[in-house]
Amino acid sequence: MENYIKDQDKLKEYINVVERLDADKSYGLLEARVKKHKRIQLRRTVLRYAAIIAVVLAIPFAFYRISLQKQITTVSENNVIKPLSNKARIVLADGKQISLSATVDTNVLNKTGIKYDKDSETISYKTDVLSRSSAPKRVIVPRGAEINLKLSDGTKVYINSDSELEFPSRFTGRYRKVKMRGEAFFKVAKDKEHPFIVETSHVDIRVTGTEFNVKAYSEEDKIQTTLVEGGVDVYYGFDKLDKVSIKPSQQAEYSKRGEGVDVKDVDVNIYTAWLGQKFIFKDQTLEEIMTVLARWYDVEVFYQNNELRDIVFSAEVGRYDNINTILDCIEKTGDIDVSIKNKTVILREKFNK
Amino acid sequence: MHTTKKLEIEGFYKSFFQTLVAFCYKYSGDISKAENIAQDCFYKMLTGDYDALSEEKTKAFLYKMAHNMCISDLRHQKVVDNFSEYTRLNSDDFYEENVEEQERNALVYKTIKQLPPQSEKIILLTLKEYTNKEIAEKLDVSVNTIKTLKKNAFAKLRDSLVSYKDLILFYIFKKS
Repeated sequence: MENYIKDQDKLKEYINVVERLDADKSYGLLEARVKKHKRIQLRRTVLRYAAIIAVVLAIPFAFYRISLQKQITTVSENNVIKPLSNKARIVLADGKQISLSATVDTNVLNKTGIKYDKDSETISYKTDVLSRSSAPKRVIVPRGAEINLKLSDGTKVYINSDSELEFPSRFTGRYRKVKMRGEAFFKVAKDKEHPFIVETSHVDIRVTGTEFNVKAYSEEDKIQTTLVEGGVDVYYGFDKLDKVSIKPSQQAEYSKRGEGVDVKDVDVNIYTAWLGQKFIFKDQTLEEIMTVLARWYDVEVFYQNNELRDIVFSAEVGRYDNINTILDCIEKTGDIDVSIKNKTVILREKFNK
Repeated sequence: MHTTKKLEIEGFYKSFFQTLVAFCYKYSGDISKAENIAQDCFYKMLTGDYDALSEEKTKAFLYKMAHNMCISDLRHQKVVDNFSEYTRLNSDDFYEENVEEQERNALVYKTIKQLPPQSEKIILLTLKEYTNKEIAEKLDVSVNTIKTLKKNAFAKLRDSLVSYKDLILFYIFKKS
């Protein structure tokens, strides 16, 4: 009977597949994955509250820093605290630049239709109020600064130091396109009809509604796209036609030298810690750590001995700490002598170990 | 007070996961890929808004999700040269056939696993096309023992499967 033979083959195929599986092991993996997801959700809720608290605390602290800075110039000590003068700038359609310093003229801003909330450090705007010439087109964040931006579709962008974002004040057409360099975290507003595309120097990242981090500094070899929630496609290669899709807790790492993309499972907390109160470094070289700190504190780094660059650390440090606190920690690990002179951190090998 | 009983996940997973993998396997022919997609379906279900109450509804939900993910994966493979195959796999007919087939396989396999251990081994080896002589050697019993045990096992299977009112399965074991 023909049917009989076909059915038996189907059963054989089923058994063949089933016997290759280990249900207990895969359940264990699933359980771990789900637990991790729940931990991340919980942590993000906690981070949100932490951020609110930090803003409230920051205001009196800012006053303290101003007076301390005055003291420093007279004593000529080498204390380096995060410079207050470095603030983000908005570039308008007519080319005018507005610097969002503590003393920014809100009247000038209001006329353009752009709103800046100093407490949350967020730029937002209403498209109906904007005039052609005053439409915001670019946000430039220098070293030592950070800013938050809300785009016309509701997408929130958190921009790190030494970064830039170019965007249309109004999204028209099929795609919502922005261009960036540096590092930013995106919370894209859902709109399946209009995919959101982030263009960087070598890769384009395409999404519909999702949360992800992009690290694409021009002086670094790697471009890292880390996905927290949702889904993204990363386009790379010649004409950006090659594509790789990643899932939450995955990272697509593009190497400019290698021209390929590596997809790995990562702990997203490491790559999104900068949004909160901390830097999280896991098994990173001193050079990698100092690069991040240099950008954030706006300092230069000098290595007396090149071997120091490769020493590996894992650490969690507060972003709003004085840099000296962090450098002290590094020195205490034993092998390194750390000092600062004129905004340059000097790293030397210690002789008396 | 009315309390809705939620589906017990661990037990459900351990009994259904393998069938979902076999379902996904029909699209790609790749067991690892099928396993990953099946696990992703469970992951999405457990971390999303879905409230798993009934086993049947949850199976249907997962089959649908798996079908969509497998098709989506095939699309990404750029199988332009296999377009007719892609169309076949993407049809409602194929989806229904696949679900029916895997549910049937699962039922038969479950029944086989419920046989006494010796009989279970004999049936599985028979399906793998071992001869009676080979099976006798493997299990270290005489060929006659094998023949007898086989006859009884198939009879038992037929009984339990017929009692599930699935006549098609009756024919699978008719030869022996």
